[in-house]
Amino acid sequence: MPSPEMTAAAEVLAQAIPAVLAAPVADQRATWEALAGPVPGDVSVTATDVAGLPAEVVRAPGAAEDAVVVHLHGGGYVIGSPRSHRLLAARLSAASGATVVVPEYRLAPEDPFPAAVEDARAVVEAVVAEVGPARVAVSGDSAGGGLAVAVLAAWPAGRSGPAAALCFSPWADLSATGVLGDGGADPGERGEVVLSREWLAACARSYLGAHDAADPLASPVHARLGGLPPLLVQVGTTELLLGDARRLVAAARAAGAEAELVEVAGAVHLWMLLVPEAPESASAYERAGAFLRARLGAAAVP
Amino acid sequence: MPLPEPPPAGAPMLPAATFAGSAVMVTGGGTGLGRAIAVEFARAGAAVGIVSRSAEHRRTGVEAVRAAGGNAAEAEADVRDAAQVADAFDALESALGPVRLLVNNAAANFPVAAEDLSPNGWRAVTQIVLDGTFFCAQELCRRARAAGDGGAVVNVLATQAFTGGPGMAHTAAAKAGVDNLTKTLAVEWAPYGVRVNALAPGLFVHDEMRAELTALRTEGAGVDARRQPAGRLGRLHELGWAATWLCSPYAAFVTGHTLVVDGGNWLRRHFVMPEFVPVREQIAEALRPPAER
Repeated sequence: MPSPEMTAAAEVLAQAIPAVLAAPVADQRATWEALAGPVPGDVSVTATDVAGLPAEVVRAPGAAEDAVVVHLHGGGYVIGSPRSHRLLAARLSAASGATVVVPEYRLAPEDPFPAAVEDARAVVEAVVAEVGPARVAVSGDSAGGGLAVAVLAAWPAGRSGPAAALCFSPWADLSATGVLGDGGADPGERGEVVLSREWLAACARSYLGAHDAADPLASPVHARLGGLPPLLVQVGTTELLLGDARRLVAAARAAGAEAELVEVAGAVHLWMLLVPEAPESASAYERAGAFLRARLGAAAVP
Repeated sequence: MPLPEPPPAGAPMLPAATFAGSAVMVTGGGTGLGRAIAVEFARAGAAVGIVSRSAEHRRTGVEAVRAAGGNAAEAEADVRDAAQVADAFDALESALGPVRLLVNNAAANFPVAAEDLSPNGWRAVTQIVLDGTFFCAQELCRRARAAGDGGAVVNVLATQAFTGGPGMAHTAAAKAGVDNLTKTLAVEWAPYGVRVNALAPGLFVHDEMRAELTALRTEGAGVDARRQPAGRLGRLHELGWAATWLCSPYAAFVTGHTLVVDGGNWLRRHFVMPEFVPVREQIAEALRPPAER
């Protein structure tokens, strides 16, 4: 049973989100920035640039400087920024004991596919060159989750890549979003209150234009996933993207990768960012932190 | 000139040893109003048990009580579950001794038009407020009776309990239930030496409220001293003082009472009626993306 915090937030989001997503792109971006919420005062946030892109380096007290999580923010490849995802980055740093780098990759419609992939790849390569692949993980939420897996799946064979992959509510299939893929029919309404099919379709059009939505760099469920590092995917059961998460993990496992799926009962899309006070969010960060610490060898945060 | 400020936080309102040897359980005592009440109990000499579902909230509650010089313990419980409530009493009593004082503060809340409220949303709020208050009070009374002790309970209400709460049907109905329950229990339990009162706070600002002032949350909207007849907001320790007084021996003849601490706000009426705004429109305005405001 979802917590009262989750239940309450779902009710409020259900009322508030439609107007947000119906707004022009510029207003949607502004709203997500305003949504960021305060970051704990003891977490340092430093603006920098990595591989020529603006980025924020987020570090909780005691976090290692040489263990790095590159976090790719969500927002349908159209909205979102390091600012909108500061809270997530801060809590991920605290939970993992690693430094979190959030790049400002280029967004559609100004910079459509494959700009985001190129930027994300360049940032991951730069960080790997700096601290070594064994000390790097790539994470992402929503569109950023799909982007993270796309970049890792396309990592050049024969070169050591990052040590772990982490996804929150990944958008992993722009060609068949919302399909569960377990043989059942389209699941329809599960209680999704954040995303809508219409909004996702608009984002996909904006990002891809006429490009094939089944391109593995846009829809990593179609990628060759055998070379992925260990993957942890967390998703809420109300989510339109539940099927994306399930099919991504199934495809990774079928290809021989180590992949774990955690389905959180009653959780809404991106609950760990949108409902940070819910106990489901504390658990999500704890699981992510334990997973990353085990693979990056970062020190536990006291 | 606004209503005058109270003496500062930390000033003694009750004699320092008023609750010496007593333990109080505060549900939802880790944050906001509950934590402020817990701190005042500590200042008046009580050992304080913080009950919350959240480990983080229990930690902040316990730290606040200890910072005020009090003895604190914590217990995890979802007050909607009577068995968990009993377990929490066990845990706190083994750490602090008999718990004969109780503040039913745990609550949940969000604005919603009644026709949009889901069954889960309705149940989450009403069960925490009404069921949770009853289970905790009942457990305290059973234990006090069995030991031949008296006790005191304070239920935290909202003035919507008296007026209805447009946009807050779940909370208003549940708190009205608690207001009524307060009166029933006061009479039933007076022969056992157990008093039951209620406290209805007005507008008090606390840290968590500020933290929730993000674009899509309306909690804390209209936090503005100029909108209050008192010309100021409530100070958290004022609420704590009211709660401690109601539980103290100085209120020994007070039971079944609801004390409103709101600077008169709930009684305001307009000589000239302001334009009526339907709840749906108020909520839509409050939830409108900031970019459009």
